[in-house]
Amino acid sequence: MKINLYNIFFLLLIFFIALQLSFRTDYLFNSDHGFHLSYFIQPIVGIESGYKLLLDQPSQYGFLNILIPHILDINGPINSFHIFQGVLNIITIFIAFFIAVRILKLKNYSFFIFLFSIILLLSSTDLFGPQVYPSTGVVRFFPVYILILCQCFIRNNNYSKTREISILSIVLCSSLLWAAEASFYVLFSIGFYYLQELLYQPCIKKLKEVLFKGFSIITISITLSYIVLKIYQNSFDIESLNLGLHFSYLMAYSYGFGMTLGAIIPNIFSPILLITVPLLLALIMNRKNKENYLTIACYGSIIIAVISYSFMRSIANNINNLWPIFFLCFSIIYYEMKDRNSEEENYSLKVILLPTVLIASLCFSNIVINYKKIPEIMSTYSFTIDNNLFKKSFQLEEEDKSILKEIEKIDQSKGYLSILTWSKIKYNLIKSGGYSPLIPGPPLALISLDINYVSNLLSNSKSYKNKNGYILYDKEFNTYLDKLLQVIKKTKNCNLTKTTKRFDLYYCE
Amino acid sequence: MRKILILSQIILVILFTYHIFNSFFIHKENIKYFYKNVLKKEKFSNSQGFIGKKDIKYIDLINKSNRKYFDQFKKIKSDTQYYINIEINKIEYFMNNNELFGLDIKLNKDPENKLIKDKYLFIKKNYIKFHVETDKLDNELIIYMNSDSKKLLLGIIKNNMNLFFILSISILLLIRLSFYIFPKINFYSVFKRNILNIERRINKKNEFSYIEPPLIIYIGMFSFLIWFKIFSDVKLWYLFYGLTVLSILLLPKINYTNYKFLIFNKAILITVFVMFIHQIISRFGYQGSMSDSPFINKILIVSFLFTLIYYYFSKYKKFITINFILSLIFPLCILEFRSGSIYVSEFIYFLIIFIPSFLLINKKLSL
Repeated sequence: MKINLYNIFFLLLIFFIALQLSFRTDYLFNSDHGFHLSYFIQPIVGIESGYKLLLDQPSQYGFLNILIPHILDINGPINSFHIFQGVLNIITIFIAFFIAVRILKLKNYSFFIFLFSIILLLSSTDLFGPQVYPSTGVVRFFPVYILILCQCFIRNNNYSKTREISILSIVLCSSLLWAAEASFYVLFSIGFYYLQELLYQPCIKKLKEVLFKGFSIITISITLSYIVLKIYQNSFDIESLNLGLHFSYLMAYSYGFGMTLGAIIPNIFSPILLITVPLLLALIMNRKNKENYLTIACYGSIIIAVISYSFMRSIANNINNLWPIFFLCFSIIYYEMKDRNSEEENYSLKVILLPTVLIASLCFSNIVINYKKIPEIMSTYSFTIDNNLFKKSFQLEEEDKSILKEIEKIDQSKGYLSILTWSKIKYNLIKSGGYSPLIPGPPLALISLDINYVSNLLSNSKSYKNKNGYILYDKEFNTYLDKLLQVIKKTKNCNLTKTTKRFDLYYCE
Repeated sequence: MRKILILSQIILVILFTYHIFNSFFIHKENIKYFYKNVLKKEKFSNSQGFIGKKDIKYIDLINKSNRKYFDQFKKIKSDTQYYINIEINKIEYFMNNNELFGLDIKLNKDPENKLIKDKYLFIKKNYIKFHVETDKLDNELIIYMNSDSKKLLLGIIKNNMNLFFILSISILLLIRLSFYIFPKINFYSVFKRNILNIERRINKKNEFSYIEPPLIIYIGMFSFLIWFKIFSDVKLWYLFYGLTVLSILLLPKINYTNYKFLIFNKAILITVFVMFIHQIISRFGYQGSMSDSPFINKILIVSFLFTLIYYYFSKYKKFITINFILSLIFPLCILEFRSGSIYVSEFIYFLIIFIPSFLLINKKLSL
């Protein structure tokens, strides 16, 4: 591998840019106003006001990715989560660096890392970056990157079966704790790969080997997860853990929640074909070459696993969010296969490289065209976010000034308040330091769960029972929220204290 | 000659039927668009005079805020009559007269009601949409719309009948005229010779023939499902995912050198191309028809991307069919979800930035 001044200089430059882009803060002030961030901030705010993860605080996007920023506790939830997300971005770039330099020993490693970094941090058409929608970035998919690194490490170092089992068990354990969805991606990837390995050479010996490996990985990872959860249970003084809560959103997605909210039926030219067609083609062409076939099957399984995300939230552009994973997987397949030559394989190499080149070119040309936005993005780099910046005033309509006064009073007295709305008032959800949430938030995340489940959750929550506070109900933007209000009314004694044309304010005790 | 005449008329009838149903569904979508963007977004109050009015015309609802939707609506509607019946009234009125509106006493669509139940040529005779809203005086109102699909379909047939007769007569005349001008040409033998040529091409095998069928089967399954929209959104996506997983798992393991597979494969390929052409004409660009960019720009982008990808594979001439399929599908897929970033509207960016980036990145990564 060539280590020269050019490569070192280029790497330092990439690292500097990646650092700035990972910790950019402009996403907090753009058109989304931190709404999507609230799905991560609100559970942390909920924990601070007495609710507990895996007991009575639902978290749509996971467990560890909420618990870690809560434990970090650097100048409030927004700041902690911001730093956590930024660090994860940097770690992910280091994973790509490690794969390119240490494992694959690429000649053009600095160029490869540069491409990966821009795909990870600037792939959206508007250059907003993954921070605006944390649920589409590393916070959701981090265990998948760890799995890619580990599989690459295992395959390229000819590790023994025991080592393979140990490493994959740890990855599965971390993904189980990270989020239920992440554990599905990891478990599916490993399982699907083993199944393909077995089908390549179906025999009893192989079946036994695959069953042994699969059983061991699952047993070890569950045991490790159990130990970690026990430590969590004792540290946070929880009587008994509600593990169903961890999987509740995965179940909601499986019943089509994501699709009912944002489904778009594409035309025949689904972007999914860009990924699955080269994969299938490469498998067909290498069906007689075991080494190549298993390489494609291994990383292809990861690709197929994460594609389920795009299927679950069938918004055409959701496939964009998986670009860094596709880029990494297709590149690894390409470089692992490159040394094994034959005419057919050369063609399959071309096919495998095509999605990588297309993704990188689309992203790169988008950045070049939008070059004017870059200085603005870079200037928002900051390590510390002052929470006071987000103590923004509540945005209500003119004729509801009486309600506005009431909720400002609640905010000043640090009372309990939950706002049930889809309107722009939801931007107040990342606000912290004033009122505390009456129900475990964000309320909009609760509507995707079965309403009886939410009712049971609230009825059994001591923290919820001990809280007396307000519910602001927006009668205009109330899709699915009416059912949530009914649950609150059923589980608490709620009195209407103020009503206007648009809002109802209840005091619940 | 008689056979050719009959065949041409059958083809014309099939094309005409397809055109009629396609137009019908486009107009039905337009009515849905009207309900969603005008009726559902409009706030009705007593002062507007619509509440309780019997004969509300859709044109009466035009105002400043919804004019842009009306423009779009009228553009598709053109001179086709829609037979839309709009009623806005208090909830009690609908409860008392529920049967007249195809509703049950709880104001849900009543599957046993004639308005809901009746069908005409496999389509529901009435297209009914309604929602409840609260006005400024806290009255609960129902905004109800019913469009007569039977009349709409018959109207479309009537509008197109002249075209059908003219085309039919023109084709008959043209065929008769051809026989009159070229009496010595035996059209049947020309037809047969071409069929034999096509058959020979279909049966042609090469050492890489096994690569095409699984790929074409996969693309074919995917395209069929979307094209026919057989299932609801949720089931459709599960089916796609299940099919993708199974395809990756099983398709590479089947032996495709069998002669029947090759014929099957070519048949699917032709069908898929027909569907492609239909989709390009009807829903082209970012998330279907949402892109406002000129059609010509999209065609230019697709053509250049096609050439670029074809050039990318140019060294591997043995895989010409696969190269052609990939070069065709990928540009269309990219256009479907990234027309923003490849700048369909400003085509020049594509030429001076995207193409060089593609070539540079390809070269660098291939090292």
